[in-house]
Amino acid sequence: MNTALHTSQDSFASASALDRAVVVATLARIEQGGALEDGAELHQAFAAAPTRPLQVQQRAWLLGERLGVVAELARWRRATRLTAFLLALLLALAGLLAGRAVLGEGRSINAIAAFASLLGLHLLMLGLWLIGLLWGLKGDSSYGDWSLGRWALAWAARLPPDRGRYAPELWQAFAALVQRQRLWPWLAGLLSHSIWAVSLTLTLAVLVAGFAFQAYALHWETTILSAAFFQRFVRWTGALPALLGFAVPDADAVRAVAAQHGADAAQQRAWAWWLIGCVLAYGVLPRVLLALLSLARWRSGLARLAAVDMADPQIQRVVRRLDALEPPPQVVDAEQRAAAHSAQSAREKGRTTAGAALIGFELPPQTAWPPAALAGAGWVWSVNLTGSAEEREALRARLMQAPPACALVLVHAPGSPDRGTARWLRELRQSVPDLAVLASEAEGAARWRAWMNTEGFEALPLMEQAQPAMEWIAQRNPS
Amino acid sequence: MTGEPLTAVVVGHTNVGKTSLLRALTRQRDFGEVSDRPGTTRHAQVVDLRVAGTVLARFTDTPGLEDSIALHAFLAQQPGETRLEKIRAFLAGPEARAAFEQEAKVLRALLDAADCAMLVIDTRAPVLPKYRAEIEILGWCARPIMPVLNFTADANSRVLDWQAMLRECSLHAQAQFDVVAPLHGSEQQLYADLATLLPPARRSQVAAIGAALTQAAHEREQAGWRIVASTLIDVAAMRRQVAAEVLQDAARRQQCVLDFRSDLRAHVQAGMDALLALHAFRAGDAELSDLPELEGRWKDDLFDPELLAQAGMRLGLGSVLGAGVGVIADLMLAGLSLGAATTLGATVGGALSGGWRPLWRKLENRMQGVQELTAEDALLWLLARHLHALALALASRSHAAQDALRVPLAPIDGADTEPMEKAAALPRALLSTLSVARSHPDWERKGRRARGGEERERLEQRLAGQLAAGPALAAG
Repeated sequence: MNTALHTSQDSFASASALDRAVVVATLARIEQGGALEDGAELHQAFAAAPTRPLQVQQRAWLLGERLGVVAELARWRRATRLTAFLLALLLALAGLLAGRAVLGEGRSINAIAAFASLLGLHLLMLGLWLIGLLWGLKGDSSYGDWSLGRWALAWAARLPPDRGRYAPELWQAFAALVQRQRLWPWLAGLLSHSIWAVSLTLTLAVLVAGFAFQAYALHWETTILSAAFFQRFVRWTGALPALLGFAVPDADAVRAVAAQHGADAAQQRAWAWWLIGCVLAYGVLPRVLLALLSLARWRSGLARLAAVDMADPQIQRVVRRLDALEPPPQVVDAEQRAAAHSAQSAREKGRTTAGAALIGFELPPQTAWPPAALAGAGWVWSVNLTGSAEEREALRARLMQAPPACALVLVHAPGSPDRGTARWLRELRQSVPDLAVLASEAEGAARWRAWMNTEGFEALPLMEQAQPAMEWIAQRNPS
Repeated sequence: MTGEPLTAVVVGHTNVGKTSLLRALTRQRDFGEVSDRPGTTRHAQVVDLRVAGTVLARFTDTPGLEDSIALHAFLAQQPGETRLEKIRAFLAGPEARAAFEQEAKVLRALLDAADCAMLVIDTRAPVLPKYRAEIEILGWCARPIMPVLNFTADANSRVLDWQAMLRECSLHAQAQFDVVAPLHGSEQQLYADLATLLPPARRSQVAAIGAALTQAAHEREQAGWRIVASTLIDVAAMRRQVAAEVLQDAARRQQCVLDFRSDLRAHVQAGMDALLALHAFRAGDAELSDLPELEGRWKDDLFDPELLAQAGMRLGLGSVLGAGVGVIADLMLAGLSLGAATTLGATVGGALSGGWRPLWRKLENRMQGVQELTAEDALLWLLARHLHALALALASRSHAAQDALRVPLAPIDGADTEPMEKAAALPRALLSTLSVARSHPDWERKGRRARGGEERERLEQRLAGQLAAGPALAAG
């Protein structure tokens, strides 16, 4: 198990970014059909990688190894290489044949027909690729199901020998991945341009060899066109090869070869160089340059493609499950409950002065004092505390001198009681045992009652309305 | 991100929402214990803010500083030249484990290499001396303090009083953050404000937290739209064939409708569950209030021609034409209920926009007397609005919220006719995108096999893009 773990770690570490991305996408596709049992893989990935994207990749890789997706990917890569090689061979053969076809039939070559047969198909396909490129970059349309490169990849995925169970998912995932980043034109282009480049290079080689060691007579023929047309054609097509240093037949040469044998050797040479130059400038060079451009675009796109798509719902689901593996919040400073306070009154009776006091505690500043509803109770004194230390001290001194027989404490019911309140109430109760609490409004009164019960004030009455509070006072102050 | 994560101690009076704030900030629905009982949290607990597995911030939840007046007086009596020394003397003394045990926890956490304190304030409470004492004690610890004003949206909020008091205490930086209903972007703002209080070396790191959170929120949002899009595709792709003999029998026909309905509900439920899981909520946190408009529709008859006609008028020409086809078909197919054929007509009308192939299949079915059940456009539009609203609500929902989310949906009839007409371009675009799925019954996700290929995914992406760009959906 341990060695197995290590080999899978190694294979993940050495895998290319593209391979990882393809395996992640394939697994997401497989899981659309139902969740996989992945407990072990999830934990393993969680332990092995530091960030979520890496963990997601590692999990997919481990599952992919179990399900054979990784092996399938390797097989597919081999098959792709083989397909590309076969295709290159096929097109190389076609290139050779094209070269032979031009040079094969006798010693006289129709230059214009040769131009068309050497470059015609290639230019047509190039045009299609360009249209596909513009189309593919424009929007979310499907790009070139008919492109050679894509066809080669799809065919490789479907190659029958030892095809794995998840081959279709692998192909779909890859195709979707490339499509999402709009890289199909470039990937397909990379494959088809390089294959075409090989083919055209071979054509060029055959052409050069033929012209080098055999004598050909190039000419043109027409039934309806004028010589001026051919002069223009040669001038325009020759412009680019001329920039590369190739000889271009001049107007005289064009006119001379029309009569089959009227041209001298230099003019024939110019014609041959023109044809070679055209194949190079319009065939080999564009293909090579486009292959390089495609390679560059593919490379730069690969970074985007290899990034884990965190906006994918499937991947977000895995991320949530990885989140759940994080250790739970730590208690760093646990509760140590102090011994319960005794809230009993400790004061002996007898020193009290008669009458009831009204005490407001931490009421909102705009509360009218004393409240109108409590006005007629004949308080010996009343005080409204905001709770500052000075006020508390003053109250303490007053209670020491002449504690009242009973007191009503008015509290702000929506406010939260706290341990400061408890301490103050306990102190007050020591001097005035006969206490009652009046909540300023009904909202929050239940919370106060529950709090009083847990803090040792079960015995204190809590009133929610002024009327019962007045009655409570009246009972104690019969006068 | 490099360096140690930001460490912040969350302090404040009892019951002001410290633990709720941390639930909201760390997106952990189940962190700590929250209740309206005073002193719910009685221990100090550390919770991490992680984005993509990386710890960006480490918060310490503390009990409330409840007995600040007494503590303030007690601290003043402590030996020591400076205030900080007095605090340390208090923490070393016996009362730190007895009368002021909870307060000691707060101060200890703050002195233990915390970058800053986040002072949570319930702005509904009146400004009282005990709160001033609290702030003064915290100030003695010589750590930056970021006041976080909670419940600012409440009708009883005294936010102006509190702001004046904080300025008096020289706390000029402050953040407003309603822990249950935070405004969009207030989280990022909180970190940006926090960064200004910190030494320069920490500043850029903390400011980067906001960017990382925005990125993660964007990813979740995108994933949400894709979930909604995929659910809508499932429903649009639903297609159940009903044989001719089943249609003859009213009871069996009813059963078909019921089966269709339960499958549809399963798709919507799966989409909702996925959305909830995406935003780290529990399965019960949002309720699928049985879409009332739907309820009526199902109860009466799926084949109610009037509802269909209504839908047709709203949704443009396609369905109206389809319904017309249905009426003609009714005349030919005497014996079937008027509505059944109208439904079929609407389906045919809808399918016309999906290409000729499905139409051909439909004609073939018609020859053999086989009928097909699909979800009509009005239903899809209703679901789209429902799920759109849910995705938006969940994306901005706080993890401190305790009540179940009920997505308020304006009724589709009557009152909102006008906005619906105004925003008609969007439903048309959305439904025409979805019509592609109608001709792909194999795109409905059910069973174990992966559904649809690149094409379905492309449609999902396009639909997700439309949903993301369509705030008008919610306005209805």
